[in-house]
Amino acid sequence: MTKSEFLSELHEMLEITSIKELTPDTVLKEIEEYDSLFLLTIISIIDEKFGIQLTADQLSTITTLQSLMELIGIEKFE
Amino acid sequence: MKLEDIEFLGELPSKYKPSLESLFFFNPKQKLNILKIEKAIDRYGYPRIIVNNGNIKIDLEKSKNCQNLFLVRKDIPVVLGVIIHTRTDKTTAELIHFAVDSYSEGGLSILENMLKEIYRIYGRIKDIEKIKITYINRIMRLNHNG
Repeated sequence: MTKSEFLSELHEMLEITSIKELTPDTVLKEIEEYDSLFLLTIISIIDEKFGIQLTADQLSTITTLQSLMELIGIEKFE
Repeated sequence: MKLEDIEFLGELPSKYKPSLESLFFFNPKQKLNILKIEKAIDRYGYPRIIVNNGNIKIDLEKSKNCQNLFLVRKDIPVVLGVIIHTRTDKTTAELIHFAVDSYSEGGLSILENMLKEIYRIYGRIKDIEKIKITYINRIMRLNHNG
């Protein structure tokens, strides 16, 4: 999966309508739909797609989508 | 606000009732997720506040075994977060409803702390492997180290 495929899927799965597309520089907290449910959805998506169980502590380290992809493992994106 | 300023409770002294009502029943953010909340209500019934020995908790019409997890401030009667949860089968726990104060103070993330507590609660139960989130019908596998 490429970065852009991942970001596009994330955009759809998170049901984001406030912005047209996500980029690595997108700051999660600046997305209008960002709330606790949004974060829980991200946790479950990462588990489902990558088999990675994000811990509660790791949540606080995620600022941009680039930082999320680094947490997942940047090598997983072609 | 620091960790020592907050605590987890399974039920609340009645002085927290106005804050609980405000966060859980009259939260303006609910309208953004109303369809997801309605799915949980369809399945588990309407939530309501009940009084038990002078304390209050939230009960669900169709799920008498549900548990409450509240995160509150110790200094003033403010509820920062609430999760209504239950074990639905041998390997699954379910977060049926939750509401979290959007504003974390002093770097304290309410959601992170509540998730840690949920992981701690169900992490002690060997058979529980996953936590379902009713609002989004998705699964989080239980990270016992989380």
